[in-house]
Amino acid sequence: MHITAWLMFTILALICFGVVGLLQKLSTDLVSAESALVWLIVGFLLLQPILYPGRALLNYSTGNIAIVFSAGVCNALGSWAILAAMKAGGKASVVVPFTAVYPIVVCLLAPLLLHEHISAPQGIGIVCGLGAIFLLAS
Amino acid sequence: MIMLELSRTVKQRWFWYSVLTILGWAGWALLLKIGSEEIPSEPSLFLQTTGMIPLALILVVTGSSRGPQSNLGVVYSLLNGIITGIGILCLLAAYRSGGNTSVVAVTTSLYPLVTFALAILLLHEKLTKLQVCGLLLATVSIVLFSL
Repeated sequence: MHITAWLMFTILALICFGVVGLLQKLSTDLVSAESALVWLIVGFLLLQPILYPGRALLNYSTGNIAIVFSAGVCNALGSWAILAAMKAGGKASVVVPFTAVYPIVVCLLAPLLLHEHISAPQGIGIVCGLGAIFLLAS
Repeated sequence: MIMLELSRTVKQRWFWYSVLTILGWAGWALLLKIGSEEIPSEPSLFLQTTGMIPLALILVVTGSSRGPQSNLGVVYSLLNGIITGIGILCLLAAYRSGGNTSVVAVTTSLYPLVTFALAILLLHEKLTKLQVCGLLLATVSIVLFSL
């Protein structure tokens, strides 16, 4: 069987993101959500040398740099909250799929903020996502 | 019966933390969408990670991250960050090596199924039939959003 490079990378990404859900639960069983977040960010920082764009950073507008930087702040808040959810007794098998439906909010806000339209599949996705939240919380 | 369970769940802290996660990550996705019009993936990831530092600093300086420490817990947390980063790098590599954007996005968005399988196998978590239906519905929803 021939596995193409892109497929191998895709499967690796899928496994990595899936394993992370488990690690979130395992870590918050042993340390506080806040401590888990700090060490998570340290783990992230270890990859910074690979990603460092050098002088290319100077070519981007300050506004867009601030926006992407703020995206990181939101990501950190979301990451802290999922760790806190698990620390507060949420099951990994419930919290991970529950929080994975966050694109619902994006789809609802995108028409207002980005003047995008909700496509038919996205509309069905919103309904399914709300149903999923309802069932996972039951 | 479902409503009774639901009213019990909304009184639990994990539920509201999960809602906060949804809001935080939705903000992340929206801001990234705006910023990515000019900034490519790798520099964007560098800047995003830099954006995570202030919260870590606040938690360290205020002492919120103190408390009972466990070496194993620290290792799990470190791995959490490293593996997430590797996952993102693999995702970018998949796009760069010719993967169809939709196929890559849909496949990787199925990660809750991997977590679910691992949680059942390794943590022995149990879900009710309704929650399993919810998991499947969430999967359909995530796939539709990725299209």
